[in-house]
Amino acid sequence: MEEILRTEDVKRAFPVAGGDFWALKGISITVPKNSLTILKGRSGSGKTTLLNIIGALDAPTSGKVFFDGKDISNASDKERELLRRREIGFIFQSVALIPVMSAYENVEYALRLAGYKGDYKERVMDCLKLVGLSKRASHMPQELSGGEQQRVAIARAIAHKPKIIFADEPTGELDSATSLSVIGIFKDLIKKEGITFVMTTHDPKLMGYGDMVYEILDGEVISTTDNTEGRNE
Amino acid sequence: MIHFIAQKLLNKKWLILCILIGNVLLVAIASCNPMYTKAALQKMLTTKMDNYIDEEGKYPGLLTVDAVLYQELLENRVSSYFDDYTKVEDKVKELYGIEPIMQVRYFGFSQRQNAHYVEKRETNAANSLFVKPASLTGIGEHVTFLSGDMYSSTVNEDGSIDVIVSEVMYFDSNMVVGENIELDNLRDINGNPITLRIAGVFRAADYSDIYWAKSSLSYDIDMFMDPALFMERFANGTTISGNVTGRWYTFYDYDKISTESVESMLATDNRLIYDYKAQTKPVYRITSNYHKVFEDYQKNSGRVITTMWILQSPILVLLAVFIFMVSNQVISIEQGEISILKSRGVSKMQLILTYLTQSAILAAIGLVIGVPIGYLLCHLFGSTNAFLEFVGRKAMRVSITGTALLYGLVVSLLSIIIMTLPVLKYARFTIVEQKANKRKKTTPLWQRVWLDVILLAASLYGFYNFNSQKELLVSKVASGKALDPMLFLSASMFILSCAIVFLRIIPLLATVVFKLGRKILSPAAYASFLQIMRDIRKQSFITVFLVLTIALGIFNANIARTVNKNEEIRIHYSTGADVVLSEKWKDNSGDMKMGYAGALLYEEPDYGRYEALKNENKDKLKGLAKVLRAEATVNSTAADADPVTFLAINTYDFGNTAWMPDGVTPEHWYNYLNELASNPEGAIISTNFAQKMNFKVGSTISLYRKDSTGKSMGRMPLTVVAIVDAFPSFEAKQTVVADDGTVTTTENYLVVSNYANLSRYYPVTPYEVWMKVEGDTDFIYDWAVENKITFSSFADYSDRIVAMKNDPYFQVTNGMLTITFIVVLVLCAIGFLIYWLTSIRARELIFGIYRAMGMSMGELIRMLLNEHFFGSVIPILFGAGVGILASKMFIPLIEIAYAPAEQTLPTGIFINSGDIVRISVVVGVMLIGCLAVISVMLSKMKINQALKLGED
Repeated sequence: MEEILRTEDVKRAFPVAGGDFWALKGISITVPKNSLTILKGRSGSGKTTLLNIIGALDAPTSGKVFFDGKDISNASDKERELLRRREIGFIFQSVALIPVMSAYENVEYALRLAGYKGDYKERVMDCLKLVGLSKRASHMPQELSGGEQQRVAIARAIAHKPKIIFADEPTGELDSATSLSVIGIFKDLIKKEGITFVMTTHDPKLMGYGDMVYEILDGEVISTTDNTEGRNE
Repeated sequence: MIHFIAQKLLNKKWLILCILIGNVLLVAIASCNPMYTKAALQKMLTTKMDNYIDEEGKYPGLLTVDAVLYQELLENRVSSYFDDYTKVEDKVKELYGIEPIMQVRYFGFSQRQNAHYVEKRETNAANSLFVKPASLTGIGEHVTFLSGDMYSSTVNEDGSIDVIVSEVMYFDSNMVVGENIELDNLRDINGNPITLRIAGVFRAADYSDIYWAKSSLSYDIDMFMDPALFMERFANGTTISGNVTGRWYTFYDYDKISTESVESMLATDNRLIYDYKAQTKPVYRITSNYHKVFEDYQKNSGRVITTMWILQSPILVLLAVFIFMVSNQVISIEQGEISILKSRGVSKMQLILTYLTQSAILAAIGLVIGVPIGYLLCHLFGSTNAFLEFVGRKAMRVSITGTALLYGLVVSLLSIIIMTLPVLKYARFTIVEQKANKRKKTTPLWQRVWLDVILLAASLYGFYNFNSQKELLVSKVASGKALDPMLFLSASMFILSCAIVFLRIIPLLATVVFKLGRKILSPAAYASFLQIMRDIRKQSFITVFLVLTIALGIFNANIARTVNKNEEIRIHYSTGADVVLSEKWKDNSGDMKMGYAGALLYEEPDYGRYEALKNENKDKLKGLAKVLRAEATVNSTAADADPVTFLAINTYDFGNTAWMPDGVTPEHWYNYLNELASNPEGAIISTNFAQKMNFKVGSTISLYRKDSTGKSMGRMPLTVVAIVDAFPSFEAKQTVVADDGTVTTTENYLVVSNYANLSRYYPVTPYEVWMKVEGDTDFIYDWAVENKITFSSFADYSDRIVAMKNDPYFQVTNGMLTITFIVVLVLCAIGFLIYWLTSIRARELIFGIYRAMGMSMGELIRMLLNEHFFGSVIPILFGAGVGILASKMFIPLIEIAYAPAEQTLPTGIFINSGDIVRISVVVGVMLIGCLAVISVMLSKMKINQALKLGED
C-alpha cells in the first residue's frame, strides 16, 4: 500500500552529563497513507521524541525521514515551518488551545497561518461540525470541558487540510468514553477528509483501533502489528 | 518551615531579588528622611549662625545674664542673694545642660565714681576723672600691654590696688602708668578710702576674639583689678560698697549646638526670664544672641520637614505599589502550589503564616541593607546642586539615628503586610475551586464602581479649588508654613487616576485597531491583538505602573527644573545684573557735624578705573554701567508721600549690562530704554505707580530728592515716556512677615530717568556700578584688593545662586526629586523586565503551540513586539503626556512654595528636554534590553521541549 512517511534508522541523542543519551537508537518505520498509526510505549520509551522528529519539530541526529517521498531529515528551519504550516497538524495531550481565542478563532487561526485560500467561516464551521462542536464555536477554551477542548484542537489540526496529523497522547487526560469518541473522530476524518493520523498512546485498550501499531521500548521498535491487510480491500 | 521557605525563595530568585530591591529602597528612603532632615537642619542652623556673624558682627553662641546687686537689698537678705550671685555660672550650666566653651564674668560698680590723681596736675580740669572699679575674669589671657604690665592679685605695700585700663581710657585721659588714683567717695567694705595704681594699659590681643563680647574699646572708664580682690574689697557676703553690676557671658560653641537643643535652649531662655522676673530684686536680664536665630530657624525648619515629607510620599507609595505588584506576581505563580496545599488540608492560617514568615525574612534583609543605604543617600542628597547635578561639597553631619531605625522598621512592617496581602486572595481556594474560578472573568470592582473616574474627578476638583485660592496659598506660605500637602496629593491623585483610567482606554484602542484591520492583519499581529484585548487584566498592573512611573518622573523633574530656574531668574532679576557694587565715597559729613551749614557733598571716586578694568578684561567684563539708586518722592515733599525708588541710568550702557528675562513686558525692554534715550527729560515709571497716581505716558511729574541727612536736594521735572511692569532689580511688591506671622504686602514704586540729565539738578551722589560678567567674578575681587578699593556693597549674582543652592530648602527639594527620579527609572526598568520575563515564562507552552502550528521565530517576536507596543510603548507615551499635563496644571501652584511673595516676574514652567531625553534613553535601553533577553529566551526555548511541558 501507499506510504506517506518512512524513517530509516533514525537516531536521536541528547547531551547529558557524562556523554550522550540515545533516546532513539535506530528506528525504521513506515506510515501508510490514510491510516491511523499508533506508536505505543511507556513514558520515556522515546515515542514522543520520534513523533517530534517525524512531525518536523525536531531533526534526527542520524538517519533519514521521508515525508511524501521527500527527505526532510536535513530540512532547514524555514522548510520545516512551511511544512508544519501547510501539510502537518498537531494535537497535544494537554490543553493546547490558545487561551485568548474562542473555539472558532482557534480553528480560524490555523487557516490564517496556513494562508488558506477559501472561505474561512465555512471551513471553520465544517471542521467544528466534524468534531461535533458547531454549537460551541464562540466559547472560550476555559469555558469548555477537557474533551471538548481536545475536539477543538482536532478541528484546528485538520482545518487547513494537512496531509498528516500527529497526536501526542491525545487521550491522555480524557476518560475512556471520551477517548473512544476521539478515536472515532479520527477514524471518521480518515474516511471523510483523507487524512493520515499518527498518534502515541500507552493505553492498551486503543491498540485494536490502529491500522499500524509500533511498540517502542528504550528507543527501539520491539514489535510491529500491521492491521491494514484485509481491511483495505 | 524555614527550609521550605528558603527553597521557595531560591526557586524564584529573580522575582525575590526584585522584591528585595523594593524593600531595600523603601527602607533606605524612609530612613534617610529623619537622617537627612536632621543633617540639613543642622546645616541650616549653623549657616544661620554663620550669617549672623557676617551680618551682625557678633558671636551667635552667646548668652548674657545681667543683674544689679543693690546695696540696700543686701541689708536684709544678703547671704541668699549673694549666694545666687556667686553661682550664676553654675546655674546657667545646670539649666542649659550644655558645656560652654567659656564663661566670663564682669563685675563693676553700676555708677561711675569720682576720682582724682594723687600726683597733682598743673590744671584742675585734668586732675579729676571718672572711673569704675571693675573686674573681668580671664582678662589677662586676651590682652597685650601697650605699656606697663598685668595687675598683681594682692594689695600693694602702700595699700593701693593694681588696675589695668584700656587704650581708650588711657588716651582719653592723661594718666601715667604706675601713678596712683584716689577715689573721692567710694569706700571699701571696711570703710577705708581706696587708691588704685595703674599697672598697665591694655589692648585686645585680637579684636575679633569672641571673649570681647563687649568690645575692649567700650571699656572707657573701667579699671580692672583681680576678680578675687574685687570681691574681697568691695563685695562680700555681708556688705557691698555700692550697687554692683554683674554680667555673665556664657559662650557656647555654636557649631556644636544641635538642632535638638534649640527647643530646650529657647524654652530655658524664656523660663529663666520668667523665673527671675518673679523675684522683686535683683533683676536678672537674660539676652542671647542665638535667640532670634533660633526662632527664625524654628520657623523655617517646619517648612523643610514638611517639604521633605511631601516630596517623599509619592515615591514611598510607588515603592509600596511595586512591592505589592511583584509579590502578587510571585504568589500568582505559586497559586497552583497554594491550592494543592489547601486541598491537602493546610489551613488558611498556616498558609498565611508561611507567607508572613517569608515576608518577614525579606523585610528583615531589606531593613539591614536599607538603613546603611539610606545613610549613603543622605550624603548623595547633600551633594545635589541642582536636579540630577552633584557637586563635591563640605560633607554634612549625617548619623544613623534611632528615629531613622524606627522609620525603617515601620515601613518594613508595612511592607510585610503588603507582601502578604496577595496571598489572602488565593488562600481561600482549594485546587478544585481555583480551577472553577479560572473560568470566571469579572471586571474588577474598582472599574465597576467607576472608582478611577471618581478619583480623576476628585483630583480635578482639588486642582480647581487650589487654583481659585491662590492668594490664600501665597499668604500661608509667606508666613512660613509649608504648602498644603493636599495640593501634592491632588497632583499625585491626578497622575494615578489618569493611569487607571488608561486601563479602560487601551483595550478599546486595541479593539478599534483590531476591528479595522481584522482582515488584513498578519497572523502575528492578529494573535497579539487578541492577547492585548482579552488579557488586559494580567497586564493592567504593569501598564498602570509604567504610566505612573513615567508621569511621576517627568512631573518631578519638571518641578525641580521649574523651581530652580525660576529662583535663578528671580535672583538675577532682583540683583539687576551679574555684579552690582557700590564703592565707599568720601563726603563732607564730618564737616557738617562740626556745624558746617552747606550741602552734603561727595567726592566721586575715579570711574575711569572701572573703564580701565573693562578694557583690560574685554573677554570677561562685557558690560559696565553707572546706576544711581536713590529714594525720592513725586509731586510732594510731604513726610507721608509714597517713597519711590529712583534710578538714573545711561540707557546704552544699562541696556548692555542689566539683565531681565524676555517676555515679561509687552515690548522688549530695550524699546523702553530707547524711548528714554530719545527724551532727556523722560522717565520710565512702574505700572503700579502710574495706576496709583493716575499718570499716563506724557504726564509731567516732579521728582524730589533728599540727601542722607534729610535735607532737600530740590526738584527735577520729568515727563513719563513709558510705563512698565518690570525693570531690572525692581520688585513691585514687598512681602513682610511680622513676628506674629501676619503677612503684609507693600507696593514699591519706580521712577527711572536719564543719568546725563541729572547733573543739571543735583550734585554727584554715590552711584552703583553694574557689571555684566562672563565666567567667574574673581578678577574683580583681585582688582579691588590690588587697588585698595573698598566697597560698601557688593552683590554677585553667582554668589547668590550658590547660596540658594546651599539652602536646605532647595537642597531637600533637589535631592528628593533627584532620588525620586532615579528610583523611578530603576523601578520602571525592573518592573518592566519582571513583567515580560514572567509573562513569557507563563506562556512558554502557548509559544510552543504557535511554533508547532508553523509560526516562525520572526513572527513570534513580531507578535511580542506588537504586544510590547500596546503594553509598554503606548503606556510610556501616555505617561509622558500625563506627566507634562500634570506639570502644566500643578507646578504653578507648587511654585508658590518656593516663591511665596507676589512676584513681579511671572513664573514660567520649565520643561527640560534633557530630562525627557534621559527618560527616553533609559526606557529605550530598557525596551531593547528586554527584547534582547526575550529573544535569547525564545531561541533557547526548544519547541519540542515546550511541547513536552504538556506531558506531565
